[in-house]
Amino acid sequence: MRNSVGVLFIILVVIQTFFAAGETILFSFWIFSAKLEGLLFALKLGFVLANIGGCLIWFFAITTEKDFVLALEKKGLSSKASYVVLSTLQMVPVLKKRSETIMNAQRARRVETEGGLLVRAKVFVPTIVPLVLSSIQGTEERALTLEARGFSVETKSTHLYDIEPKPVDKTLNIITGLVFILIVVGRIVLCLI
Amino acid sequence: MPYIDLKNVTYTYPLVKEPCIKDISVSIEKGKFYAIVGANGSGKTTLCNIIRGFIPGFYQGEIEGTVELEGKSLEEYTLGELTSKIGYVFQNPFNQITGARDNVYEEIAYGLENLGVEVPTIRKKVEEVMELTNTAYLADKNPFELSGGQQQRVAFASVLALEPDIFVIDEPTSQLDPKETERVFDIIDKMKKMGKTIILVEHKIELIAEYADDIIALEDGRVVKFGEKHDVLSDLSLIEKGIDLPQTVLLADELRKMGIPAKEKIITKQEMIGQLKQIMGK
Amino acid sequence: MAFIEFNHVGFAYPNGFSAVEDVDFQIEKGENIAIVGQNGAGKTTTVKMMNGLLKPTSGTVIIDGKDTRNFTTAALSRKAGYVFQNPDDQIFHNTVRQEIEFGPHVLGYDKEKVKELTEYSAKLAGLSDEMEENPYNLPLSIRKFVTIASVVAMDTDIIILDEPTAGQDIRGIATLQDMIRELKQKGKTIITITHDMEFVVNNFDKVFVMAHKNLLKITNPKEVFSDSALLDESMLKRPYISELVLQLGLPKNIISRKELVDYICAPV
Repeated sequence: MRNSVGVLFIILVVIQTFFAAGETILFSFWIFSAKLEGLLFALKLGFVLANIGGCLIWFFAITTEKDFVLALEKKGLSSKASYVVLSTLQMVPVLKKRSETIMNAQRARRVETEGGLLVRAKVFVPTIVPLVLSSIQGTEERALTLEARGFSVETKSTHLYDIEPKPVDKTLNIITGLVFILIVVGRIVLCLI
Repeated sequence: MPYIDLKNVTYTYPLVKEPCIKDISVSIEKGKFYAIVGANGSGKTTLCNIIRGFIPGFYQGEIEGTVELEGKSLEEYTLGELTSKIGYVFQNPFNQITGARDNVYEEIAYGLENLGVEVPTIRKKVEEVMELTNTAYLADKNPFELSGGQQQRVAFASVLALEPDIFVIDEPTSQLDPKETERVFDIIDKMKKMGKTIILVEHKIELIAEYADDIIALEDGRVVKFGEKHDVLSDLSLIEKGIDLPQTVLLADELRKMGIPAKEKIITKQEMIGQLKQIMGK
Repeated sequence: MAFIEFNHVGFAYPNGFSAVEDVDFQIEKGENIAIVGQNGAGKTTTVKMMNGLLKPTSGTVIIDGKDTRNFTTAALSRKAGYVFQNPDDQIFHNTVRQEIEFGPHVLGYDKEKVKELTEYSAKLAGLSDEMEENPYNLPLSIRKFVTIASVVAMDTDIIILDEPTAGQDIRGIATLQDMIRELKQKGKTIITITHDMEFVVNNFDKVFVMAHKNLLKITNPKEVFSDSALLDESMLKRPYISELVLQLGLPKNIISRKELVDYICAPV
């Protein structure tokens, strides 16, 4: 995940530098010539992308899904939606383990799972279908379980595990907001000058 | 007035021609332990779903007759009321883990959170049920990483936390090994001593003979016998209906065939031991 | 040389966790074996090494003269069929018929033979009336029979059953018993993992008792259930009759109802 932003950056720079239209040639080899306009454009766009991408990655790296969803819930996200997010995240490793069990069961029936790409493609259906079918059936029972735990009850939920905004959070929010306004206003002013 | 009353209930699943439950009338008394027995496909799970209100609430299909809890039709109760009154545990432990929380403590608390119970009370209740179900040592673990038996105990704990008066339990031990089965029946016995009304579907007839009070025997969607366990479980004609009878009953029958006057209606281990001691003159 | 040979076999996962320490035994063709023991004793791991799902990390497993490390599981599945405990991990066709046909079809049998094997297995499993049904419309206990039939249809020499009696009613258990008897007559080698002690007493001549990742003893049911020390060490449940016998202080080799009746009725 973290590498993908870097890889994108490099690809962007290469393509823009060598293939975009431009006049100032920096250097050339074989049939390719590096143009300054392309390079500058690429760097500008690239840094913007890296910035945004990097921020998102950083955010999700330091925030647990649990806190993230809980915070959203406190701001008004429905508890049903937060359930969907949390349970999906929890299910992924469970489904992975389940698909390994299923692959074992199919191997025992002479469905080859070890081998090249074509072999693995053939085993796709016998692995996916039991996984999906039993997941669907499991969903029905899980829906009953949720019912039995008051999932659809209209009362406002209480929270055993809770997060509260601290005073420093509020201060940071205000400062960030001010800086943002400053940047926008400043940009507009610079354009007008 | 019976606690739960089913009168002439007939139910057909959607898109199916034949009704699954045919004209069933059963009265459940408060505080008693009922076991539902019958061959696979005889309608045990469907009956559970009807008592619990999942039919017709969750499953569509056609239902006739009345189902009443404390004199009021189930349909007149809100979902929240039913959740607090009737608990449900079923066969597959994995599907009873909600997936909403990543540790057992919070998983058990989840239902209470949804019902808006204050946090201090939640803590108290969760710790009480963990004690009862012997799951305290699992508190920090992810429910999905537990064994089937452990998950089943967590499921019991999660339902017990909501303190329902009635428990509908559908084949809780079918996928469990003997040790885990014993632990589950231990929990059920504790619940019985707490005065809960229990309705249990099980194949393990020896355990039913030990713990239950009354038996509801089903065949092909109908009640073929309903009564106190000694009366029902010593009826040998139930075997042809696909219902297993306790070893004690079969043993007594074989002894009688050999000319030994073994008493009728012996079904628990203690009763059989007493009887055998008498027979062998010890 | 025996049909199935385990020569000082051990299995440890890549993370170092050992599931089986040292298991050594031979099984002849046509034997009918029950493997019992607590969860965690190593039963499933041992059995998974019979069809190559797991390869031993120490020792060798020889199936019909072939070392399992040289073959893929799918290749070994011609010799050993494994019915998993949860049928929902295996079923992926729309009808019972298609599901059962799949095994013999993949093994390369011709159309006639596939049909023959399918109908035969379905009959043994009591599924002849359900062939066109979608397996997911059937109750879980019947779906279990679908997976058993689909493995039996593969006509392998070895059939491995994992907890076949779980969730079955007495009719289901009777069908299972008849099936095992029939397959035994055909010379199949049947290996069953089970917790159901009554099932063991009624159907098996040889029992492998496993505990603590090792094989404690290989013997017949009578020997197993009259040996208190063995039962305690392996933490096995006794059959109901054995529990009565124990509490009454009667000879411990009485393990079935018939034997108890005979004992009580025997002239003094």
